[in-house]
Amino acid sequence: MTENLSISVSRCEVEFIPGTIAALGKPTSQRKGPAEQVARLRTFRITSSDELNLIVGLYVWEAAAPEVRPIDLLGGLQKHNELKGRGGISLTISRDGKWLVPLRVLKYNATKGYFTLQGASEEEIDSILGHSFRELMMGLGAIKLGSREVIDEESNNKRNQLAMTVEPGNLEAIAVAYAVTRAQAVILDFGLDVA
Amino acid sequence: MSIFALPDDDNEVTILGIISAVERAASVEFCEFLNNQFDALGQKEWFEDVRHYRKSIGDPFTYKHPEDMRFIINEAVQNDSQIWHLIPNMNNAWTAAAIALKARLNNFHHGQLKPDLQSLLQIATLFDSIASSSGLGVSDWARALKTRIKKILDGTFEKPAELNPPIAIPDVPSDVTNSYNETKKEVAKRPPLGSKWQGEKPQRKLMLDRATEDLYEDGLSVSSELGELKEQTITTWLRYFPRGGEVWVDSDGASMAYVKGIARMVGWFSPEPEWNQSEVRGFVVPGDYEFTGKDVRDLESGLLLTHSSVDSVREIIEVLSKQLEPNDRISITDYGEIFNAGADGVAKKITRAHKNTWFEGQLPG
Repeated sequence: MTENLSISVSRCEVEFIPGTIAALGKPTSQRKGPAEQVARLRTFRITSSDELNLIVGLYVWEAAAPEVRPIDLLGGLQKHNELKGRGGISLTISRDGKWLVPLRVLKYNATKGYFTLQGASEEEIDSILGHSFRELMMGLGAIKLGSREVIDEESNNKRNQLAMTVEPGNLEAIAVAYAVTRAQAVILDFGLDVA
Repeated sequence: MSIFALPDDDNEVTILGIISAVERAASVEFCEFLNNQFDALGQKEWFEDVRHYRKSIGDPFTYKHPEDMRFIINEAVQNDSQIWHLIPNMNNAWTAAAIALKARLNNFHHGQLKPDLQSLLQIATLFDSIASSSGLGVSDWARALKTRIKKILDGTFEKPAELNPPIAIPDVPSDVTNSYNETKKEVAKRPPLGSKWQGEKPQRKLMLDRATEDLYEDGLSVSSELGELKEQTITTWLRYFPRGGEVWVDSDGASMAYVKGIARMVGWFSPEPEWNQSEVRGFVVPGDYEFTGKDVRDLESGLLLTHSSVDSVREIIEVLSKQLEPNDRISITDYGEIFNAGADGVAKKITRAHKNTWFEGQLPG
């Protein structure tokens, strides 16, 4: 039996589960719509030094933008429940036909008492990872990393948001970005020290 | 013994061996240097003369021979030193380095110097400071050590291919090895609060709730089991585990939680076991501290404790005031035990601090 490909990222291990399956459901962007559609689903597992065991999927929808969603929290601490209901990533298609991955992070919100998705600087993400996030992502095939204005000429209210572009289907880069900005952020209680 | 042994990595046996070997080499060289100087003055029995002088004025004198670095330093820095005039370029910087080195060597001989590259770097730097001004060869070794350790620490050192014959690891005196084994056994049993948990995860699982400041087991509060210790226990746990969450409690009460993804010792769900009150536990935190009379100064940064701790240190200062004189040096272990070394070099415990009543970031957690 061969072992699945896995990548170690700080306190997390990202294991890629081979194969693509068909999944029926509603894209997050169309969750109020009546029609379900089929997605090509590829999955990965994130485990951690503090007992997290989370299955996450990359959904490539027939008629909606791709997205990353947690599927099943198989094990972990109470705080890992924060990853169950929030922290998905909605991708968009960039002007040059690549996938644009917004890079927000799960950060502890002292007012609400739980983690929420918030904008983050590259330095903040470096601090979560413990070294250069840009170098890691470029090594995994990211094409550009910067503000949406810089990497995709956006001029809307999201133009200052940090994002990266990858070749369509680059699961490794997307999964590792998810592991850092979601799982690792919760493991490190990102934002709690400030609170 | 190999000469000029350098570390390739952070192997603690090698580190301890090198510290021991550098100390021996420095002692022999310093002693030879002093022998030559005293020979020229016609004082061949100078060590005996020093011993008689010290005993005659009631100073403790436990050294058995002059080839002991702690003797040489101790004698050199006395106000009425019998040897300082023979050491070239003796100045305040030399004296400060010598006092710091003596403290490190005392820690080393009592198994309290953490056997890591940082400790070796400090020792090498201090040896370089006191040996180079006298033109002793051991300063070359100390400088080579500094260069090598910095390369290992910054990740630029590449281990050479296997040497033939390989460089032997210097021997460590058995009493030092025994002291280290004792300290390591103690740490392995129950590490300092905030340090990595050692061993299996305990079975009993509790929940520490940050909002209610209470402890639950299967949804029911169990803090009544602690009686009068409730408040103190929860305060301690939250100090090391501020977010709260699952805590696992072992049969002796030692408690572990995942703090930022790492299993750590966060406290006790019981009265803390009574330790031997006279012995200082754990490894010494690298640093030199001076009691000013009203405060504690970190001699490296110059910071004062009252301005550098999270919580009030009034009680600690009060205890220190009763047992120390201004300008006395103190040290602290990773268990938070504050002590000073008496004239005999034996550590005397004074009081205890925790991570919030000591210089921020210097104690575990």
